[in-house]
Amino acid sequence: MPSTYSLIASATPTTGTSVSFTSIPDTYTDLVLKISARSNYTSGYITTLYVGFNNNSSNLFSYLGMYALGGTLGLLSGAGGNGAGDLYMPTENSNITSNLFGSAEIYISNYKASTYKQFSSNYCVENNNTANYYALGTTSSAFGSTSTVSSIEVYLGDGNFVSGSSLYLYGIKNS
Amino acid sequence: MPTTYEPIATTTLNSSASSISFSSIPSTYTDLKLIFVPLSAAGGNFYIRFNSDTGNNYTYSYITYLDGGYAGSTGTATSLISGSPGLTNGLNGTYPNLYDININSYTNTSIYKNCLFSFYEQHGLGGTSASGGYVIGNWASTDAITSIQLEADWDSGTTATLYGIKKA
Repeated sequence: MPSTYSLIASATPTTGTSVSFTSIPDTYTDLVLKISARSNYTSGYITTLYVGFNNNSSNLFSYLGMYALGGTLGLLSGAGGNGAGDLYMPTENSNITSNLFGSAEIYISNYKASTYKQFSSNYCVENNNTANYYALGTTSSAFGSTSTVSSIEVYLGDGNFVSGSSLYLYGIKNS
Repeated sequence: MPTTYEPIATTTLNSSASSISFSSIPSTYTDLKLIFVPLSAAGGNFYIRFNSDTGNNYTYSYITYLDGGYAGSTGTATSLISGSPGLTNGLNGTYPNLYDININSYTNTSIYKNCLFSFYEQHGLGGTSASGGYVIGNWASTDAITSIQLEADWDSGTTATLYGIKKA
């Protein structure tokens, strides 16, 4: 039986505000993106990270998510010009523990389908110090395009990726 | 290294249906994962059962979000596990939804069976008419799970894939 859950590509950025995965093969059923990341932004504890497809900037993205952030529940929602799936990653603010990276998984179902694309984001950050600063959440997102997803762009809302960040893109086959 | 994540079966509807069933699930895996991408113009909720058991042998709890608020509850014994509990818009016809359903230790005949799933429903552009959440369900049976039923008004194009996961 062929491997069902296969690594397509990876990236280990040491700087830059975005990462792109291009020329995604159309031989899978679903895509999974695993992210471990931190931003060098210092003005806030966290920054957003979001995902776009096919370099599309035509306001075809939308999202709604639920999060717990430092002990407070909240909703985030909106329309992204070039992406959605918004989630939170830690920064290099002085109150954030050194070497702390956030974890996230983004699942893109039926990325070749002629329907609009639904994708999920689940993420967590635990500061592991007395500041008790943490974040976790889940976000529902849609890409209102019937085109096959052939590239994925990952953007930081503030700052640049720092060394130690990693992104792994997997393809899943259903047969 | 042995393959530990394998597709067991896939269903793609070519016409509408009121139930999708996976039967004769092999007992050779440790856990099950069901990736479900439904289309349903009728909207509303959907239901999960195991082994076609229609008795009041299920409970479920959830936390969900829907547009401007949250909902959460614990359930009492009932005849199903609700797929989109507490939501008013539920399934939608234009945008496919995404359900990630995990069923652990499905062959263990010493325990009742738990399933944990997350779901994502973004129904329109602009961040409106969206919902999602987590559901934990329990089936009060020590029987091994040999079949799964997903019940609602499914439209053509709905897909569901059942994967088996081995611990070794």
